[in-house]
Amino acid sequence: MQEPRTIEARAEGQATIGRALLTNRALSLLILVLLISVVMAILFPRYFVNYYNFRQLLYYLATPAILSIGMMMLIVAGVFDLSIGGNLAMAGAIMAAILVVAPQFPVPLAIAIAMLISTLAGVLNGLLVAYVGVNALITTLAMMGILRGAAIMLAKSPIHVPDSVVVLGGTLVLGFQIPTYYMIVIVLIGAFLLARTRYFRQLYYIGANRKAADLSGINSRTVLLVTFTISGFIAGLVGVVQAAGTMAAIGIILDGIELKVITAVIIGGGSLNGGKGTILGAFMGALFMLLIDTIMTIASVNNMFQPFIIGIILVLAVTLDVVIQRKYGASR
Amino acid sequence: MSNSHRARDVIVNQLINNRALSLLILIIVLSAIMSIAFGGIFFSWSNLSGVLLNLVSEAILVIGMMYLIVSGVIDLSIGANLALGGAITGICLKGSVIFGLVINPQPVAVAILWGLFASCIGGLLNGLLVARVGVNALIATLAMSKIIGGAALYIGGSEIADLPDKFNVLSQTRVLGFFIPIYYMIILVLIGAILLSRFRYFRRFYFIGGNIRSARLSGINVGNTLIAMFVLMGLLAGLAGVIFAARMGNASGNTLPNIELNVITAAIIGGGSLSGGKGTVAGAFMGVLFINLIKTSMVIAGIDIYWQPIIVGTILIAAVVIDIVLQERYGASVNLRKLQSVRRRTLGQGAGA
Repeated sequence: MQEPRTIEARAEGQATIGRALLTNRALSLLILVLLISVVMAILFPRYFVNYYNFRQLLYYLATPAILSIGMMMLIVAGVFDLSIGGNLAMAGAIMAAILVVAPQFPVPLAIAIAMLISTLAGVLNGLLVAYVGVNALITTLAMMGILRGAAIMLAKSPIHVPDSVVVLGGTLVLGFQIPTYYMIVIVLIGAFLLARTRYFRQLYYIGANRKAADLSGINSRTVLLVTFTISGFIAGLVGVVQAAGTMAAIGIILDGIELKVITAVIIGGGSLNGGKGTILGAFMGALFMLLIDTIMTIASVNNMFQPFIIGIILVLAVTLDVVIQRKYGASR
Repeated sequence: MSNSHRARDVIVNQLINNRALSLLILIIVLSAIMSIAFGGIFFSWSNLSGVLLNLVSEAILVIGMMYLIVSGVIDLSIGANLALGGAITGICLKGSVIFGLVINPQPVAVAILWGLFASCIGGLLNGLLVARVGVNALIATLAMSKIIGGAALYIGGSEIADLPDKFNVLSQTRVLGFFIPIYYMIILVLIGAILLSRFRYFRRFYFIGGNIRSARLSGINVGNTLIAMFVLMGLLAGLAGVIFAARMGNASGNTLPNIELNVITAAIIGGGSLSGGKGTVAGAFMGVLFINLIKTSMVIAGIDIYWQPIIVGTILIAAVVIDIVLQERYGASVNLRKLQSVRRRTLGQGAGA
């Protein structure tokens, strides 16, 4: 009697591992990232395996990874934000413009004003989507134009930022650039909020079925407003850090980043139908995308092929997702 | 009294529900103001012809985009697909070597057909991903925009210059004072409008966008219809690409970047709704005309070009918000009054008999 049960249990265990690999996007991406890294380390030992490359990888990861936290929260709730690129450019431009016009102006206050305005842009997005009922794509598409336009008007050519700001984005701490630490902190906070707090768990209900969520007593309007506000705040933060890291603010910075971030979030397991996704997945999605970019650069893949390959990966990721959902989703 | 009531209802109803009409009025008002303020600079054949020529690509694309939006989907890959159509036509005209494959220069008609064919394939892939695999249209076409765009860049490079005159003449001829692409645009918009408003196959789009499940249950083959629609969108993108390439006399892998967002904006301002089930081709065309008129007016008025995205974004939000407010306030009441008047009439007849 003992024997068959053990075999059964073992088979079940294997099935669980297989299912976890397929359905836990963060885990499957982690394995992919490790595999790719090993292959790259063997193929390009000199370029890939060194401290400098590792440090730069983590530095360039900061911007998309931080942005993907806010985006994942929105996508879990069934909405998204196309205005983050314009918003972050505006934050950097406002901060730099203030400090250029009034050099004596206290730096922390200039940063606070820039981030406040970005946060308010997020509030406006939230009000339009959650309270007025405008489609999120339309709202944030329009806001993208407005904010990007404002950013370019403020900073048509690069505005240099003072050293006291540059410190916030370019300092090395324990061998790594400071944005890497911002990223770690924000990813941890985001993961905690979305996975462990009741308030943000509501996003899953709203994304899965907003009407049902409302009927069961969730105030979806407020929750969406708060989430859009967070997205605006995060964009403002990234804008300031980006300007500090590049030592200047410019209106067209990170043009098109919003679509890259959405791509990373979808690869990381989010679904535009809402109700799905984790912060860890979003982070791994951003890491995976950056790794692919880095590899293509190191392997000197033709620039023109890079979007092509990213498009193929995105198609594969969503197609795989649909197939897995059909196979395992129903049985769960 | 009831007559004046009815007349007012009809006017209110038309203004609220007929976006093409309300935009037309806005366009006339704006043109009048600009003509008075700037006289000959604005009110001239060359300005009219220039404005119309510049919106040809957007107007051709917005036909297909409106079909998709009416059906509740969207296509972000049209800009890439437009570039692909132009690039393929360009290399077929000039001859080239791609992946070791030698392409000899082709006659104009053959080259154009290859370009249109390539764009249709792009549309077909979109349709298959959305309708057969079941990927969200936004994500599917976002991914396809990278794939198609990458292909177009690889094939077209930064520029395929000096296309033959036999080809360029297709867009560079003047007929009755206007460049010929304007006529292509008018013909395509008219055909597109008639198809959507008069033909049963195209009327289905409203059912699909209104409620995809009930459309399916009532026997409409939603999957095939969506695929056909995406292929049609691809064809329109290819046409726009060929016309644009002939107008410029060259093709490239990244013509008109971000045109898809302008086209979606125009379609929404023109009365489309991303929830589907709403919109007309006339409205979409008026949306394109309106946005381009605003942009031209701003240039003539000497306003910094970077104000344009700010103004267009504000108009987009205003259009949608006003629509929501009006629908909430009058949409129901106008219909209710119409219902009441119908009921009164039928009841009155009943009492008379």
